[in-house]
Amino acid sequence: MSPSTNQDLILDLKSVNVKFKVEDDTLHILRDVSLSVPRGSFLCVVGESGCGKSVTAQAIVQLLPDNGEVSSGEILFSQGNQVLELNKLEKFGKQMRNIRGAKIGMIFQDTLSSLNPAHKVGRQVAESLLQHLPISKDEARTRVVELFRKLGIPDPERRYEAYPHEFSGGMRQRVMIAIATICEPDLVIADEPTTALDVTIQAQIMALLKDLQKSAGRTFILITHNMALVSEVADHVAVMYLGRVVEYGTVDQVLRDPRHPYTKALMASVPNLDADKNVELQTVDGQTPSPAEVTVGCEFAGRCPYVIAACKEKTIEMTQVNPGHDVRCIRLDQNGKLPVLAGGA
Amino acid sequence: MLRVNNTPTPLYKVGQIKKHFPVLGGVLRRTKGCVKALDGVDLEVFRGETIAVIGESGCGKTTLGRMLALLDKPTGGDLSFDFGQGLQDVTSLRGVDQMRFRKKVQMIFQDPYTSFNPRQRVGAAMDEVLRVHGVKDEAERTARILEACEMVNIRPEYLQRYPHEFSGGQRQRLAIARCLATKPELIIADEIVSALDVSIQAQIVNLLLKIQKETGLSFIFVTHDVAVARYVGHRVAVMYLGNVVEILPADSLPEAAEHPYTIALLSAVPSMNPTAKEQRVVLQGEVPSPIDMPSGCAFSTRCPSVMDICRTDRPVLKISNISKGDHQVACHLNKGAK
Repeated sequence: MSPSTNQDLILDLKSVNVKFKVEDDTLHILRDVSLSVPRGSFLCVVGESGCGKSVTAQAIVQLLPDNGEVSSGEILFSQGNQVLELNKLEKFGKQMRNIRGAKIGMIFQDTLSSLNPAHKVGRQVAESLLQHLPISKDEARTRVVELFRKLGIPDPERRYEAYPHEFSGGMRQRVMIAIATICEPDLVIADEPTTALDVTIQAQIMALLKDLQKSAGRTFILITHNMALVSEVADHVAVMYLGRVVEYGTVDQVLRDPRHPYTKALMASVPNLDADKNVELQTVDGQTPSPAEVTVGCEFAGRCPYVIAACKEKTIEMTQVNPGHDVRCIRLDQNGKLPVLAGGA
Repeated sequence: MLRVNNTPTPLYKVGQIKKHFPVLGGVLRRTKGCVKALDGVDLEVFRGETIAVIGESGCGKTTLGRMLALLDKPTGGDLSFDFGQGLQDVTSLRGVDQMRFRKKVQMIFQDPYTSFNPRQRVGAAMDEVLRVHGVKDEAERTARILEACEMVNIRPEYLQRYPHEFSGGQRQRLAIARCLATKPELIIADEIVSALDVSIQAQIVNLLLKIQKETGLSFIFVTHDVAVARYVGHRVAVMYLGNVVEILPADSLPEAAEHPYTIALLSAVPSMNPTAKEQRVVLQGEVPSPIDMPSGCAFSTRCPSVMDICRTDRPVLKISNISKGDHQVACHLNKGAK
C-alpha cells in the first residue's frame, strides 16, 4: 500500500502531527512525532502530563477523540509482508477493526472503566477472540481459561464467571492484559498500566509484560511517567515534551547519559532510594506551557537553564549525538555535551 | 537531625489506636463483621520531626492520618497532644477545646482542587480559616496570609483568583499556605504529591523541607512512594493491614530494613540501579482482606520467611536487635528483643 520501509520495523511514525479542535481554537498536540519501533523491542514513551504520550498511542490505533485528527504524517504498520498506512485507513472500517485488538493489543490505565461492569470477565476476554478468529465458543472459553492461568489469575475456571467488581485492581489489570494478548497480536500498546497499582503489584505486572515480550517475541510500547520503571523494562526510550520527542535512544544512552536538558531535569527531580538525602531535589522552574500558547523554537526554552536567544528563533531539529541516540537541542557542542553553567549545573 | 528539639516528651502520642468499620450485610443490614482499618497502632511524634507513613492501598495509612487529625473517632486507644503543659488526652475534646486542637494540627489532602471552594477566591478561603480560628483583627489576618504566601512562593496578587485559575502544583502550595496561616505545630499531609508530575512534586517536597527548617513544625507525611518517604522523613513508619510493622530512621533505608514486608516493598520499587533488579523479591499474591485477617502475623500469608509461630502469635513492635536505638520491628525474626 505504501513504499517499502525497513522490514525490521513493526511500526514507523513519520512526522505525525495531531490537532484537536477545541471551540474555535485548534490545538497542536503532537508536533512532528517520528518514532521507529523495531520488531520484538520494548519501547517506553515517557513524559509528564500533557506531553502527548497518550495521544501518540491513540493516534496509532485511530482512537483519537472525535475532535482530534492526524493532520499530517504517516503511521506505517508492517503486517506480514505488507506495510499498511494506518492513518489512511477508515477509522471504523473493516481493515482497521481487524487490526485493532487482533494485530495491535491495547492496555489502559483505568481498568474499571475499560471493562463492562455488567458482563462476566471471561466473556469479555472471549469476545475479542470470537470477533477476530473463526472458533467456537467452547474453544474460546478453553483458551481464555488457559491464558488466565498463564497470567497468574488463581482458580481461572471460577474466575471466568466473575464480574469486574469482584476483582482487585491487580487482577483486573491481568484481565486487561488477557484481552490485549488473547489474539496474539504483534504489537501491544500499554498506556500507564500500573500507575493505579501498588508497587508490589506493579512489580508482578511488569514481570508479566516483560515475560510476554521475551517468550512470544512480541513488541511492546509502554507509556509511562515513571523513569525508574523505564530503566527496568525498556530497550528504547522516547522522552516527550509538549508534543515533541526531545530525546530518543536506547535505555543506556538516554537514562545513563541523558543529553537533553529536560531529560536531565526529569531524572534529577525523582527521589531515588539510593540517592543522597542531603542533596536537594532539582526542580524545573515554572510549569509546562499550555499547547494553546503558540511558541516558536524550542518548547522547553521557557524553563531551560541553558537557554540562549537562538533557542527561541526557529524549530529545533533532532540531531544525532551517538548512533541511535537523537536529541533535539542546539546547545550541545560537537561532542554532544551541554555547556557548563555558571554557578554549577 | 533526628529529634531536633531535645525535649524527651513527644508532641503527639498515639497509644494502641484502633479503628474498626462495621460491615453490614443481609436484608436487615446487621453487622456481619468489621474491617480492622487500624488494629493497635503506637506512634510518637516529636517536635520538628517528620514521620513518613508508607504502605500499600488499604493498609490504613490514610485512616491513621484522619484519626490523628480527629476527623474520625477511633474505636479504641488513646491520643494525647502536648499543648504546652504536657500531654493531654484529645479524643474527648469538644467545642472550643477541639478548635484549639485543630488550630495546632492541620491536615492537607491529596486533591487540592476539592479542598477549595470553586466559587470562593483563594484569598477569601484563607481569610475564612483564620476568622474561624478567632483571629479577629483584619490587618493581622492579612499579614499572616501574606507571610504564608511568601513561604510557599505564591504572589500576593494571586489571592484574588479562583481555584480553577491555578495549576495542580500551585493549588497544592495554596493548600499548604492555608495550613501555615494558622501557625500549626503539626501538619498531616495525606498523599499531597501523588497527583503531581515529578518536576512539580520535587518543588513541593523541597518546599516542605524548607518550611520545616524555618518554622520547626512537625509533619506526618502519608505516602505510597517509598523513595519520597525516605527523602522527606526523619523516621519512616511502614504499615501493613492496619498495623505499623516497622519504624526506622529514614537515613538507614534501604539497607537497615528488617521486616520481610519492608524488604519486599523496597525491592518492588523500580530502580535506576541495575543491581537492584537481581535482588528483587517479588511478593506472591495480594494483601488479604482486612475483614478476615489472618491470625498471628498479618503478613504470614505472603511472607517468604514465615515460621510456625507467625501463624499463631501476633508479633508486637520491639526495638530491633540489630540496629537498636530508634529502630523498631514487629516480627518474630527479631528474637530476644524487649
